[in-house]
Amino acid sequence: MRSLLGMVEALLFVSGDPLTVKDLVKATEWDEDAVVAALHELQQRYVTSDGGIQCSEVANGWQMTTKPDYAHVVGKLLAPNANRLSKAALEVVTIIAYRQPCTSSDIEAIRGVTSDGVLRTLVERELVADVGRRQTPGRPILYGTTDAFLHYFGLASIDALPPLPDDPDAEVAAATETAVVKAGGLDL
Amino acid sequence: MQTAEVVQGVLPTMGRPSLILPTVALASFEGPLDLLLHLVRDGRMDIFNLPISELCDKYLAVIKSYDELNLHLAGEFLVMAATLIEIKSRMLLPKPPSDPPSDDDGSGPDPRMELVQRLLDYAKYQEMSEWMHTVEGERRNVFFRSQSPLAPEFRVPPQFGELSADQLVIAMQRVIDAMGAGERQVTSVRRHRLTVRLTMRILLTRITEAGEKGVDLLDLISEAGNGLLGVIMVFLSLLELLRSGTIAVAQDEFCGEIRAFFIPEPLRIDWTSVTDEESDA
Repeated sequence: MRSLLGMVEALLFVSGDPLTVKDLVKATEWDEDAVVAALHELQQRYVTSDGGIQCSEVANGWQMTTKPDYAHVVGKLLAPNANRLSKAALEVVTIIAYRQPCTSSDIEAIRGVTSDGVLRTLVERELVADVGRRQTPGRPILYGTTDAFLHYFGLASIDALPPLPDDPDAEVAAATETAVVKAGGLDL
Repeated sequence: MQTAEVVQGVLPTMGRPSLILPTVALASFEGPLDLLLHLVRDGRMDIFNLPISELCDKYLAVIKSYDELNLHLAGEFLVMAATLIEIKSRMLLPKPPSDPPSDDDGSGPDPRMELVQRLLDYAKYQEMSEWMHTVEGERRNVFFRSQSPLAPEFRVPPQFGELSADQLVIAMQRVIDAMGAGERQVTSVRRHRLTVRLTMRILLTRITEAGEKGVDLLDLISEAGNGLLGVIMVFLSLLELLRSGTIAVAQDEFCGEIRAFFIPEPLRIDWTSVTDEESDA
């Protein structure tokens, strides 16, 4: 007897990497709603079981990972992965995540310091990528975040980012490279 | 909680240690705005009514201590020092605007405003980067399998743009296996009267006849004849035809069939202007 839930589980197991719903629909030949329902059912089953595996939504797809509770024991077996991001790298990647697509000078305008070196590191780690050119003189490179970024931070999609802290001037700031200040923004 | 503090005009300290030894602490600042934010937080200054003179003095003190140590000072720090002094001097001019500034006092913009807005903006992203840091840490408690070393024919399909040379070799091997070239034990040396030019002509006729629907790449390969050499010729000719813009290829869905179709003269585009996406297909 084969169930859709079983099929989805089997596919996620062999893949290792996140699979999109589209991948799963294609392989199982079930419709999208049923596959999504099966994914949530599977996720729930792993939550309630006391096994070491969980199924979660990450980087616009679904993936089987170990449960955080078992981190210490898995960590004993596996070598730790790449170094954590520096404070500067985190700032730059955060700015890109919220302002994408944005240029190196957009980032510099916010941080008040050149960020090209950090940006290069982020590109090398494939957390951000060149997504085009701004149609202004010099055609500066526009950067955006990648699926690897979502995966690295365990985000289901870019919409999973919490909203920026309340800022009445957010739109104004986004529209201009150097923040234009409205007096209204300071009447707090 | 932090929002409430911002409303009162005092930014949260974000857990940074007090600036007891500025010379030591300076190295960890990510730039002049970072340093300013730290001074504002550390001194519990009201961001919406920034005591610019106090801030300027503290900032210059830090810069000076830096200088005394003969450490390299990034240009941005000096620019900010100049900006602070400029704002301070503008504040000292007669008829300084009353604070907090409002639209109707007619005293013109507060010289501090742009700086304050930049600080607030930066503080916002810093706050979010703290969140990212937390999430990053949590994520490190989760382990996942990298793709398992399966036999090539069971490989999970790669995403667009992620094809490596290895995968190309595997794809090529699959084509060769399909035509049974690998099984041939005895071979004879003979001269092939097959040229790229000739193959191009044959392919072009075939693709043109197929019309708008185009021809599946796999069909073209299986029709190639002449064994491995024929397949190679088909590839070379297809590449040549693509380069000249005479044909185009399209793949509507991921891992779907790759279709080659004819492009009539007036619609041809220079291949250098073809976007990456199209050339991937």
